[in-house]
Amino acid sequence: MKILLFTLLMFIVIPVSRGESRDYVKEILETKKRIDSKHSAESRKLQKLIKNAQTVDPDDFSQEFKKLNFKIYGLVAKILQKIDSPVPETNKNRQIFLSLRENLSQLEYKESNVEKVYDLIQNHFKNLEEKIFKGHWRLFIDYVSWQNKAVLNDTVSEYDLIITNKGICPGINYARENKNFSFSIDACFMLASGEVKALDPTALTYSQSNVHAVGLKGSLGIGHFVSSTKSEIGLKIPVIFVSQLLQDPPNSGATISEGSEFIPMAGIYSRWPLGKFFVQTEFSKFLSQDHILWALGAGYSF
Amino acid sequence: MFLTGLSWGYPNYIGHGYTSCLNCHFNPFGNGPLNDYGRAVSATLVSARWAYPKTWTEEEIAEKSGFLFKKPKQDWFRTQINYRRFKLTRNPGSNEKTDLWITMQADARAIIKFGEKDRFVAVYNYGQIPPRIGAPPGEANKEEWKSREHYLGYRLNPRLGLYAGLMDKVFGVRVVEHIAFSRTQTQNNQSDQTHGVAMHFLTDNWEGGIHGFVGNLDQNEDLRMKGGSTMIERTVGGTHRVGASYMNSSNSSFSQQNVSVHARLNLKEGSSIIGEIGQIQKEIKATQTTVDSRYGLIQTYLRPTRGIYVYNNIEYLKSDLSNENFTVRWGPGVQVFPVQKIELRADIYNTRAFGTEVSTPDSWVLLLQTHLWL
Repeated sequence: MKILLFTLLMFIVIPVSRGESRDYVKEILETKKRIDSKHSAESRKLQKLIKNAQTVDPDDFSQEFKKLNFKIYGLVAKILQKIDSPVPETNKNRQIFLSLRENLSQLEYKESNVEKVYDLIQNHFKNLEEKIFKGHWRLFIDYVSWQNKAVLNDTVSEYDLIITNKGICPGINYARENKNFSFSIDACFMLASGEVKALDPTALTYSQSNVHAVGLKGSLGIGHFVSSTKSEIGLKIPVIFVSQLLQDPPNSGATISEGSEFIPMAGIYSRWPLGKFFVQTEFSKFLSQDHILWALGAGYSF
Repeated sequence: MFLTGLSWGYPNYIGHGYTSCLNCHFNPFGNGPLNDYGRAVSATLVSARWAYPKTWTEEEIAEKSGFLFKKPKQDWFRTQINYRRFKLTRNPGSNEKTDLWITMQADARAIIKFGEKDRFVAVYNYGQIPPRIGAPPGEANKEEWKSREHYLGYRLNPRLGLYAGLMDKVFGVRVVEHIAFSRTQTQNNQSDQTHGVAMHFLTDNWEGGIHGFVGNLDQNEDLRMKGGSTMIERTVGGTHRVGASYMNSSNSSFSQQNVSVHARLNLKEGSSIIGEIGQIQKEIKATQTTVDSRYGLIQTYLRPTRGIYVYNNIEYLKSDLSNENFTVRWGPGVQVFPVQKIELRADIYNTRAFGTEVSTPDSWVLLLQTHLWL
């Protein structure tokens, strides 16, 4: 017990010996002194039995000895609760805490209270662990559709054209995530085709079919996990850079100005993990036009 | 377009672990009046609790879920009132914006039940038939009040029940959105109830039913769609459901066959995904012409916090498989239950047409809705 307490104090005092924790350490030292002075034989006996994996008979130990051990257990728990950054389970302070729990368990002293304190500390470290942001990679492929506008200029007038695109967008996503939040960046390669018509067909008869579009789509996102399965909802700021060449009407003198190549958007997204796989959706509005892009996709998380 | 509204039945609650509609509804296939347990679930699990004193337990909140916030004093009779009104805005934010206010539901319901575990139920639902938007002038705003559904149900045992009367047809997933292609195209719309007899079965892993129907006897005989349907679901992975449906019906003018498969995935704490894909064959008898169509539906639900659901309705319709044209309707929305007996809902529907040489501006609809029930 002496060795144990010495170790305990070495590792607890050094990192957390400030303020309230210092008082706890002081109290531990005083309690330890009392054990040393009045229950040193019991303390040695208990350690020996546990070390040799022998059966401990709780009746062989005094109530006061048990009570003092429980007090130290509680004080160590309070010190651990003050730790505000995650430490691994192999951390020596946590190992000491577990040893004290084992002692009290063998002594069969206030077992339910011992377990409650244990759960409290475990949850504390679990919560700290869950606050840490960790990196995650995902591969995905979206079915994507968006509209864009273009303008047909002839010698006297301008006519608006509307392009309806659909295609796929395979890509990659990287996110820094903790239990509740996600900050992500993703990029995908757009491969699509569009149908082009005059916005006002009564003013202009014009159409093109299957006009290929290639482009890149990148997004920044911030998400919130709403379930233990990490279903996610969030906001994202996508930008697409797309190239889509429309043909000028032959023999008319008219020319076509393609729509924006660089389109910033704002949107919402959601994602549902199904094991390592996931389903995701996106609904984004162009910032500079009254058009939207939507995407439905699936992917794999690493 | 016959735009209809929403009713009370949420297959997405599989996200709370409720695989079977029978848990919460008198009708084992969902929709219609809630049973006592369903009302308690709506008051506790579904609705927010911020309005209640912190000292109230969930049991105390559940006790207020009865008619007029009272705990029923007897076991054999229940009454319910449902009122739903919404504002429909077409092309919001544009010069072509139009607003329309519609009372979608004004129902009074009475339920008699007795026997062990409510073995016998008699359900009567009287209410307003919503106006048909797009109907001929003079009919569009015509109010019509009549029985929305009435049926008798008898559970031979917990696994098997028989139901007879005016009910929804047994087919597919009864999503709340009656404008969903999966409902309008399959003739399972808000006012498509039919007289008939349905059998429902439920085992540990299987649930389903068979429905024979003769049409709505309130309609002219020529219009009544007579036939049968079946739906079967299997629990997979302990918490999810996959299923299939078939329906065959006809009247003197045309016949229709629907077939579909569906899945409902429980993604915990209120999150879920519902998917249905189906195919329809319609034959016009006079001309002996046949049209095949196909629809798809994906509904995704998330519950950021108790009382709030955020969702997407993603729908696909290819109304004639012989050509390339199809439509996708994408509708993000939010549904809020601020306190029990109140539902507020906002939906956006973006509809986009696809096809060879088809490119038209998307159409937009904004739907704001209030649903109250007692």
